[in-house]
Amino acid sequence: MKFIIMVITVLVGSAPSLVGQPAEYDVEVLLPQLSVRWSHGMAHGPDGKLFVADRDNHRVLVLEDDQVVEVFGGIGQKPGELYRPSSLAHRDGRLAVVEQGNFRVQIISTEGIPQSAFPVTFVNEYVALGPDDRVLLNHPESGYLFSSYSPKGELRTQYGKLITEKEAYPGRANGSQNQTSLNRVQLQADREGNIFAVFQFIPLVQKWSPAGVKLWQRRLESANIESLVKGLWEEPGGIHYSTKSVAGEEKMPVIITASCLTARGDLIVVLADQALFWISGDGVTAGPVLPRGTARIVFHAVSEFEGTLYFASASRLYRSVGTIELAMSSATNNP
Amino acid sequence: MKIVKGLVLIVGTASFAIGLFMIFIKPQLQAPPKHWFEIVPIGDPFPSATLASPSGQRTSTEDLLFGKWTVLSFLGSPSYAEGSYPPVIQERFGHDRIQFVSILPGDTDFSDGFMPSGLDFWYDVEGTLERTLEIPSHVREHAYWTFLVDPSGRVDFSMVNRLKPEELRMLVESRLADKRDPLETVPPAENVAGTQLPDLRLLDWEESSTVGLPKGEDFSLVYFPGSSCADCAANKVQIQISRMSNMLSGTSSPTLYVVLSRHIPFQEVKTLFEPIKGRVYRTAEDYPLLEDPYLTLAGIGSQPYVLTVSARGLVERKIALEDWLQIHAISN
Repeated sequence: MKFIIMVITVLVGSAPSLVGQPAEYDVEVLLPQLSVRWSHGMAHGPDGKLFVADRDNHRVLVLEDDQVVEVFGGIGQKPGELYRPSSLAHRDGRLAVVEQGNFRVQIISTEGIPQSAFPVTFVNEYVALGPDDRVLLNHPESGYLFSSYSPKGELRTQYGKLITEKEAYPGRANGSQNQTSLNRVQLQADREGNIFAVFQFIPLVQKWSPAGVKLWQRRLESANIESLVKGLWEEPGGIHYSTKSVAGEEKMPVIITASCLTARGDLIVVLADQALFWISGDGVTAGPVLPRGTARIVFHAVSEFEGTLYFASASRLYRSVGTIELAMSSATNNP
Repeated sequence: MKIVKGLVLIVGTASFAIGLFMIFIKPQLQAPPKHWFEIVPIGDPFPSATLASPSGQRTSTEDLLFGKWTVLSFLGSPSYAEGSYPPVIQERFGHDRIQFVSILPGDTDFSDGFMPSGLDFWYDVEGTLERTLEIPSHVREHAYWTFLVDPSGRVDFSMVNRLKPEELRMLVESRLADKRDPLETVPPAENVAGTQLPDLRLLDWEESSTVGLPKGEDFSLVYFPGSSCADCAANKVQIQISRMSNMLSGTSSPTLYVVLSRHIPFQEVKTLFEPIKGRVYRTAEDYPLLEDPYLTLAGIGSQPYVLTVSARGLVERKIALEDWLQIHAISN
């Protein structure tokens, strides 16, 4: 196993000189010859296997020891085939794969054996697997933040109050135009079944209990987030999820592009400018981590294993190198 | 009194039952509408219907779809890069193995419309398919349905929309060339950043000798893909060449090579490139990393782009020539 271990020093409000001085991180290309095409989902198994949804190649890549060891899928609609698999989640030897092209969620084993599938009427890209076989999807069109399904697609519960535009951005009108977009969230489920909702268009994270009770929420604050928020509202046509090429570089009118939970239950949030936010599982402490250098890569997926972060851009896989010394500041929960 | 008590009991029981019904029916009310897989399941025979050709010939879907793979577009004509894709795919895999069929509503008048070559057009004369293939409400805005039907007439793939040309290619390759491993499909030309640029064999301006690109130094490569050089006749290319020429005369000019696909009719466009002829080369063979071979075969030109290549031969960036020239103009 060849892993570069990242040492994380967490200083919870104990060193004022460090607080306010964001940590930095470096990345390197993983497998330079490997081209992925739009991955919005990656997840590690407990054994270190990395599963990557490779959307426009219609496949899920399985990496072990930094090599592709298996490929699931191939374009199609029969069980086990995939059509635009945009994201995935892993839990207890199973993968939930959202297929944007097939309007379908497919459950496959980590050996690639299809187990069940169910259709969806929306193609929001993010999925989480909870305990009791729960498949969690974000479908704000239904009026709720979370919809919980059985592996065969039976709707079990819906919960989570949608946030209004005025609550998201005080000072703005309380229109319904952006309601759905504002409530697009990435989902992460921890071992206990708590759900983290990471808003893409609001610098906001919420944690919900398995019973549907909001445990805490935290607004992320930093200079670069202010800049991203400004860019969000200045984007012509208002907020929307899209990409476009500006002088050959991706520009995304979203604030948060990726997120994952670490093995110890902390939440990592990736911002559109490649900066990270590291948030403790209890929401009490958080700290920004800035990318070194001036080049900026938009990461659409992230996963953590043994202290190393793995990322996917529109075309490549990356991993963090070196040490991140993380200065986390304590903060009160802001409702 | 007994009657009143009985009525109260009945009303109470009914209210309780209705309450329970409402609680349990709620998830059903919010259940998703019909998915297109439920209308025409994968693996089922394509729905039966009577079809008529523009010349009045009649057939059935069973007869039409039997014996070869069929890419079937319902309620419209496919726009696989302006219709150039189907002939290329048929050429590659054989007309006896794959066909492209468009089925239109019976009252469609396409007499003045665009009829891409290589496609068979049929009319759904009795509207049977229109009734059977109800477009699911959540995708109604597309009002278009693409199928891949296997030689036994069973639906192998369906999508309520058009397929992207490269998706059609992958789909057909996986079925007809038995390329089930998606890693084996032709690599896309769009994501070259981060990969090693292959050793290119290039023909010089006079086409008299073969050269290679430099090793051990950074350079930029302007690539004109495609077989028709779609924009070569346009003023845009002349302006781009003029700007490149001005750029190269400056002291801060990067090392720049202009490479034209070998499929571009060089003699026809040679005079355009005269101002920068010392930098212009043609590829001596095909490089799938640089351009989509299917588009090349289909004669579809695509936009020129610039690769910035490191001294180690790694492609660091791919950018549209137009954007690259703009950035260069700003930075100078």
